[in-house]
Amino acid sequence: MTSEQHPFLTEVMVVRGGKDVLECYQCGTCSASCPALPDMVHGPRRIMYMIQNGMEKEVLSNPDIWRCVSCYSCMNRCPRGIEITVLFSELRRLAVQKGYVEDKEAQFGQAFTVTLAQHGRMFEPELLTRYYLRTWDIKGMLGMVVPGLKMLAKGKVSFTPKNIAASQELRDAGVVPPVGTFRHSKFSDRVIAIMIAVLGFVAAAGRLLTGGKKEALHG
Amino acid sequence: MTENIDNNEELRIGVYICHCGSNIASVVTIPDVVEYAATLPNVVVAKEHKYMCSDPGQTLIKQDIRQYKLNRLVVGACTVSMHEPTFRAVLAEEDVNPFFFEMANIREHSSWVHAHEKPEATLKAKEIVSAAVAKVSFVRPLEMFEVPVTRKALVIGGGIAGISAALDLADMRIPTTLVDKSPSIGGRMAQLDKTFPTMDCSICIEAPKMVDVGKNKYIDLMTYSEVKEVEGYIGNFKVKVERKPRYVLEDRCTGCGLCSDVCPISVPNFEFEEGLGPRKAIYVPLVQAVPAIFTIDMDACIECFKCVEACGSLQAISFFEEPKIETLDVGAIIVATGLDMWDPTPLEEYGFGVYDNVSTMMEIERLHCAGGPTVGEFVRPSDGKTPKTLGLIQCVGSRDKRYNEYCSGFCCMYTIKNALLLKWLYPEIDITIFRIDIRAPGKTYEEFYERARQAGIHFVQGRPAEIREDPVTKNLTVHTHNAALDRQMEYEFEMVGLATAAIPSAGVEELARALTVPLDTAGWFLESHPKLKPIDSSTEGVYLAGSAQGPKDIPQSVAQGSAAAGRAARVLTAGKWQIDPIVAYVDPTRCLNTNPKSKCTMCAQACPYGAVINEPGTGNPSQIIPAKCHACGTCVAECPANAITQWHFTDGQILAQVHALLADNPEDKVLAFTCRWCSGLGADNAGVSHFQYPSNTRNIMVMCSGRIDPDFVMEAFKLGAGAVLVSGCHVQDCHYITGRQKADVRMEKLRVQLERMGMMPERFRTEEVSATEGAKWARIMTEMSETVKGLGPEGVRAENEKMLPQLERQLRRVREGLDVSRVLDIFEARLQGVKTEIQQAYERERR
Repeated sequence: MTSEQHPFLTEVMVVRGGKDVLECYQCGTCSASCPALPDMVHGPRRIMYMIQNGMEKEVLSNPDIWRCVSCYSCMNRCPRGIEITVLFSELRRLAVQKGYVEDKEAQFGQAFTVTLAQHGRMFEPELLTRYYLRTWDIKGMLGMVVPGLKMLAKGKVSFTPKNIAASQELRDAGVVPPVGTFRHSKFSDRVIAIMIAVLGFVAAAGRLLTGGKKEALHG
Repeated sequence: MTENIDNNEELRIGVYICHCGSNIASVVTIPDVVEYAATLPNVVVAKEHKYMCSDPGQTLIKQDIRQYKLNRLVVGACTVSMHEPTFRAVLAEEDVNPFFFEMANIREHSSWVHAHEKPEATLKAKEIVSAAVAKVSFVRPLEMFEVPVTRKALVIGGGIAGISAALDLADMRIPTTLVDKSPSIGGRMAQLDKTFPTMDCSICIEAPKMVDVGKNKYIDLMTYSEVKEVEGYIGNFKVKVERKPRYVLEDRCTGCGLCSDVCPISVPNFEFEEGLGPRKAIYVPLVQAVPAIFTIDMDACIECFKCVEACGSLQAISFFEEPKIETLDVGAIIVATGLDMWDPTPLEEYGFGVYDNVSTMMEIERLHCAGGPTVGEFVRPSDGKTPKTLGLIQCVGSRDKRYNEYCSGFCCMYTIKNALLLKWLYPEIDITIFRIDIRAPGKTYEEFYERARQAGIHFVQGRPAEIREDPVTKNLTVHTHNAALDRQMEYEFEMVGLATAAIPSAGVEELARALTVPLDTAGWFLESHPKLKPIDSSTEGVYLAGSAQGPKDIPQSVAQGSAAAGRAARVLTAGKWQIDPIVAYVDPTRCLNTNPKSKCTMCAQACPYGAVINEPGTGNPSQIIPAKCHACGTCVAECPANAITQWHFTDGQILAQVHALLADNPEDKVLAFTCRWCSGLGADNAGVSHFQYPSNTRNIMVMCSGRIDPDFVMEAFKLGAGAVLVSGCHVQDCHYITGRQKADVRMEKLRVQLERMGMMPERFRTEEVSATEGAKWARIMTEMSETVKGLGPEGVRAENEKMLPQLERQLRRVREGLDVSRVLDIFEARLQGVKTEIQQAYERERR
């Protein structure tokens, strides 16, 4: 709008739920409605004010946006029609994208989204590989080996990814963010590619050896 | 040479070029323009003066009028907004028709904006003068016409605003009819207990005025009546009012009330007590009713006739009444229809209508009012006990995008008043007011707010999210986020009051239609100009007072009532009223509706003022009511049969200007149409601010962009114009309400046609420019000038040639417009001659 606007405000105003942010007149209905407020530092009322004043760091680095339970009470009752719940989900995405959130949960979420963006469907071996490559949580990774193998044997997770036909549509519809929204290293891709090849080989070999009888190997 | 339109009068034009000190003279070479002007057809005198508008300047013109028998005047000077009235007066003083004057703006449109292109500015000045001469050659003598005025007024609505207006009019001995749809006047103010900030008893200060109205010999009170139809125009309205049947004869009822005493039927009194108290089927809404005449509610009445018995020899009750239409002849109308209170049921989170003890502020008002259903004992609905704790919530339905976006203006004060009042009546009561902001703008209002705080009333900055009810105690818990304490809090109250929004009175849409007065987006009557004409509506002779125009408090309503009476009195005491003659006119021989099979309604649809009498299917041609016509010209452009013309802005006159301006080197030029208001003033603003822009731009002004016929644009392109701009107000600001909107639709269709003909889209633009957007004007002119220069004259000519066959086909009916044939004949014949002169001038400058 005007050149005096803080870039963070301008950025928020173009994401989903953000166009009416300047309408907020601090009535407090949102904070009053919020069941998660006792666990928040600021609450949606103050978050709105901080956005209006371009306080990017305070907004994106505080835990409030992660405490939102998406109950929609605030958005239903807001007399200005601000889509608060929708906006908060975008704030979470922005927080991760801009690197304000680096904890394990965020890394897991990003690994999940990247995997989903690739295949349109979950593929657990890739998910975990990406996760552990991000966090270098070797101990955790080693701890997953035995349960992982058991699940493979039982057919609970598949050897090969199953891509949906319309993964681009999924991205176009905004269900998953575009490839590249979250950190997505080429190194991880290569490791994943090798892993998929290896798993595929193992599965094929297994089918040969067991005469195609083990259902898990077909997964 | 005799080329005058209507008679064989010889045209004798005087052209006067003003130096305006050095404002024009420092850029434009005045003697060259004077010399050029003398060569224009029918110009017998061309002179210059340092200050044309000064006394000596005006005297010079007057002398020349007498000496040279001038009958047309062109002044090359400033903007019409400044001195059109000045020079029209000069003509009038010399007995020449004042409409024989045209201003050539060579200051705002040339010297001030092309200060660094002196030769080009001089050339442009010459062409502007040439266009003014062209237009003035084809204007007709017009007379301000006068209509008689009926010295009577109508006030619609008997609340405090309507009462104030009626009493002022009566003081001026103007016979006034006051119509109200309720059985009694008094409106909302009568329902109030006390008024802020004085804590006056409301009905105590209003009732004497109500009685005055009832007794005043100049005021005819028509209650239980509604305005149904309004015809006519300022000074001459014919209004049909329906008197609803009361079943009680107004000239016999004494208001004794014996009928009501014996009536066996009681129903909730919604009219006055918000349904909290009863009334009988035969009733007056309030004890202090004016007139003190009873009314029978037939939906409740069981026709037992006990009332007839009780009335006895007075025989004031008649069950045979029918609605009656009365016709009133009035000269001016005042709309004072007031407001209603919004029903907060849709706000489910507050539980109104579900929880017993959640009430509206008006209900609370009635409960503590001594004349109310509980005789002033403030009790809560569920158990009839006085609550010890009370919560009051502001902005219920106001400032809310889901319901009413506006602030209702008086509720903060209203709530504080109720809180203070209750504190005085019940010192132990604990009251909390939940608010977003506190609005206390009036005189001593802020001090009133302080009194509330001093009295120990609590204020919480936090709009409650929801209210929950305890099913046993029927107490309410209000959930809110207290901003000051920065935490969620739950407040328990025995009763809660909601300050609901003010909304327009029920039924105003039909009234607005009958009056041809528009409502704004929120449903309030629209004022003519929000700053400078807040009392006038857009229909001449109809004025607005009180909350009908937007929610307001009592002093504002009273002030507006008096203001409306004043505005109306201007007309009613004048005897005769002058109507501007630049109105539209339908040629009955051309109107399609002379054929009864035609059902054309284009002109009526184009007019937001209801100035068109359109009777399709009857064989009667449409007619414009001059006194209602505001002269936008939209109907002229919309008429599919070219049957309508606008005096002083005929198709011929406008095309004469197009031809004059594009006579030479049209491929280099940007031709801009502006309206008289926003975009014309915006272009002037660019001049006043000295924003520079290229000089290859030329303007033509009409009253409203709605007037602009696609033919004008196409003729411009046919003549070879480089680019054309159609500019006007921002669509929501159009001075003629819908003119701009209609123009937009028309221009969009034109754009599609032009692009199909192969024209580069940037060569035709439509823009919204407000009166302050001088910079925007300069930017648009610069952009379009660059478009034209970028294409170059060859490029423009090439495109125009491609478009020519189609343009000529589209323009085949252009000569149907008034004067167009004569204008085009003259211009096409003279094209050679004029072209040569301007061409020479052009070449001289270039060297």
